[in-house]
Amino acid sequence: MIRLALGVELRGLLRSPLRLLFLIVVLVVGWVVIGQGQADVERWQMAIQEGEAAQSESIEEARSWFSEGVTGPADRPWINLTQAHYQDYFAATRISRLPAPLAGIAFASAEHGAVTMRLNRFADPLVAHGSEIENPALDAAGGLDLVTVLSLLIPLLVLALGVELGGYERSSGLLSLVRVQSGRDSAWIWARCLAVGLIVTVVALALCGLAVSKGGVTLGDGAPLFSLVVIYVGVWTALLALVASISRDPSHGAVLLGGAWILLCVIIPSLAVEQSAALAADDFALDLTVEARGERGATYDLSESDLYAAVYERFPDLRAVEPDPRNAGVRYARDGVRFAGLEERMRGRHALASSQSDLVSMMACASPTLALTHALEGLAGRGPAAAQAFRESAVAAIGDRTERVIRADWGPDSLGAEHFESLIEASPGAVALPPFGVQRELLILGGWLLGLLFLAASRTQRA
Amino acid sequence: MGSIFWNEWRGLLRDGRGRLVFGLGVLLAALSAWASAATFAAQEAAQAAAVDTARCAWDEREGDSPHSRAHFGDYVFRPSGVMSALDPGLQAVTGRVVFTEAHRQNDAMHHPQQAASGLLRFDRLEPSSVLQVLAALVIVLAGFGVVSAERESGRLKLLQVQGVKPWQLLLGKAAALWSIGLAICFVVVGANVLLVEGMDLGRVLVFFLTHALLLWVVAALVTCVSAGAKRSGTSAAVLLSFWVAGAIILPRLAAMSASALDPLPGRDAFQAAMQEDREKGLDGHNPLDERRKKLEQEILAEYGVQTRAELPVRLGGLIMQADDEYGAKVWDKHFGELEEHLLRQDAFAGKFSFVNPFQAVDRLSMAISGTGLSSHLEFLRQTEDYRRELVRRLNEEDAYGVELNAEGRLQRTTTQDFFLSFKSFEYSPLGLNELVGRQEADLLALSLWVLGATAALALTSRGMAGGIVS
Repeated sequence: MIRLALGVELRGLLRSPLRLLFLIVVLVVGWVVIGQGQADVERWQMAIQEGEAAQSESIEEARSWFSEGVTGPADRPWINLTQAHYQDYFAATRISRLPAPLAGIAFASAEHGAVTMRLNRFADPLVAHGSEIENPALDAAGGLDLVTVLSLLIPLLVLALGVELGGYERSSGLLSLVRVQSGRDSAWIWARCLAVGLIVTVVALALCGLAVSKGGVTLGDGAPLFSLVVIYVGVWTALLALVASISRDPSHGAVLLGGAWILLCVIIPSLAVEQSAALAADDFALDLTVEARGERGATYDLSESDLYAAVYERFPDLRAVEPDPRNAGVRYARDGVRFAGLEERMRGRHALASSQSDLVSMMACASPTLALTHALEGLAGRGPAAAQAFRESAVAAIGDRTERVIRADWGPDSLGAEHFESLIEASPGAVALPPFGVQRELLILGGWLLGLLFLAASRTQRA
Repeated sequence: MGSIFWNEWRGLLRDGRGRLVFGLGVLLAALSAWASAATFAAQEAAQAAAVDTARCAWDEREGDSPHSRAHFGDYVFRPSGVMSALDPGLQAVTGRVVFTEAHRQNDAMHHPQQAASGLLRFDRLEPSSVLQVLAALVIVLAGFGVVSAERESGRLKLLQVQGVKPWQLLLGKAAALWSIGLAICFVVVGANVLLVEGMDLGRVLVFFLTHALLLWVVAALVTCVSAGAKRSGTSAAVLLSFWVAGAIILPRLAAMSASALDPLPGRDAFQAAMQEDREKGLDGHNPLDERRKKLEQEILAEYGVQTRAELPVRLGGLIMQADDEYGAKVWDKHFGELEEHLLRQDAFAGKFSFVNPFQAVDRLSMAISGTGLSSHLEFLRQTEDYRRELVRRLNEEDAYGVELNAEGRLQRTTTQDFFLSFKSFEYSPLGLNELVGRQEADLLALSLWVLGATAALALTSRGMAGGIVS
């Protein structure tokens, strides 16, 4: 029966210019946004390359002074590369966030975290800007990328292809005819739903396949994307089957399907955004701004013993190279205390952000669209978790750099080219973020699928 | 016509589906007004507290020279503006905090909702969205069968036999649908006026009228489509497609097209270009800088002395001010170009208003509420003016706030009162006329939509009278 239903749906599709047009629109928009996504990934990589070029200029400049046997340039005599401070300044390597293989699919994400930042002991990844200048007027529109196409347009395609399903058979009396002829009227409705689902799955998988091939991703790495999309189409197909089992006529079906789409794709996400705005209402980042500035200033008020105690609490290994006299190392000790403050702020921010992430997790259960969006942004490495992971890597690298610089200053040796090179070598460079696990979202979507299938089946049995 | 109007309302309230749609619409409207007012109040309180904290840090600091105070800087926290309770506009995607300091202009930073970036793809359930998106949807759902159902049931012919003229029928039905939207509009706007203190009633009225016009466009189009459709199913499909395209797809497509066709420069490239121009000026912190030396000679000549030590003012303050003035020119040039670019992109996206009434009203709504792009750019401009004035006063105090002591050397006369005399940043929002005046294209587009929808209604009724639409 499924082959028969598939034939009917394909013929129906070819005969209906509106449906065919909608399918073509989805494919064309999908193709365009995949291209745009790829261009965005190239801009991302370009930003990293520009950062690395600026870094190598600074490093080469310092190397040239070493090779000339001087400690700095003639026109800036205060620069002295035998001091740890200037070594840190000129070895300001970049720490970069490599784009995830599927980064292009979510290029319209509102997450604009930094992709590359200068690494020295004064860097503050918590207030670093992204590599792109954004136009807020365009950002506020919500963005159109493959994530939007898959989460909003694909369900609409299911609706467009199956809007009359069930209702048409019932209102025209066809269903009774099928029942009389084969006694399997519900099987016919299910077969038609499945046929619609198959057509939409092929369209969605074609778009995902294109995104995977453009992103140079292996099929294995693309498997989570394919799985999510197949289950998501399954959810909407099951919803179609449920509506088909109860719709009295095409008009009734259209309203029910339209209502379901609006509820799941617009109203529930809107409630979530409203809740998110309420959570963020009182956050004016005082911890990252006024208080951070105050903490930095307060390091000058600490007594020498308190200062060293605070440094050793964070960097216990530095006890071994404590300078003699102690006051010779005070300047760099303050950097150690400032870094401890940065780490503290990062932990505080993490706790604050977790209320937002809990909200997203909770709302993802209430709408398959939110679950899919969250999973795809995560797969693309564009979500808050990716930005947070990069900030954590950057802060860890700054901690390492700070310890090295303090050790260099406090140590007995005079600093030379080998110290400078060791600073560069110890910098992490590019950071590839850990892969995002989509198990939770797969479970949520699977739950929706099973729940809707159960409802549709029980409804059909009752009918 | 009056009886047709009231009949529609009776039909809506009698039908379970109609009651559900209308009830949900009103409930969401009330919920959104309450939630938005609560968020606005929390935001205002937090912003005031942040300003106080920054002010305390400024006031309590002691022992600074004016120059070190210029590096200490001040923080500006973006105020939301009272109308943001109705339409927060771009505020979720613009930074809230700007650090103002000597020698450099910093970008607005901190978008707290980025921690839930996946959600920002969707619209907030703010009052303006309820009116532009949900009220329009309620009209669509309540009205897709407003004429086609009459036709399907045969009542249309009965009405014609009874002498009801097509224009009376369509106008009555359209007015009934419009009044449903207006009822939601009243709930949203009325609740906000009651819940939020200090609402600008003039702006509220313009906000209401703008949304009322959009709802008229929707009501008229719904009536026309329903009158033209042979079946209610077709009418529902066409109208829901129109709603999805206008409210969800086209705004995103407009933004993507503007960004793809006229991309902005990368942040690094922008800053590198600015840095390059900045380096052509003097470097106030580099005593070997040639331009600095030249300026020093000019100042010495102006005071008729040979050496710095003979100057009755601190040379550093004058040089820093010259450095900052040059930096300001560089910023004006580059930020001016960037601002033009942003406005050009926005204007391109705005062209979609001629094919999408939702977008025209969305843009007008943000302008009326003072939360659109123009207001954001104005905030940045005023912040920069504040920074310049702050730094100028500090540099001048650094230069002139000195006197010769008994040993003939300069000593500072700056007191704590001088620092206490600084006031926190205060944003002066642009006037309604100026903001709306900048949205000429959107005003024109909305006017054309209102005229077009009304004309479509007239043509449809004429078609019905002539039997073309029957």
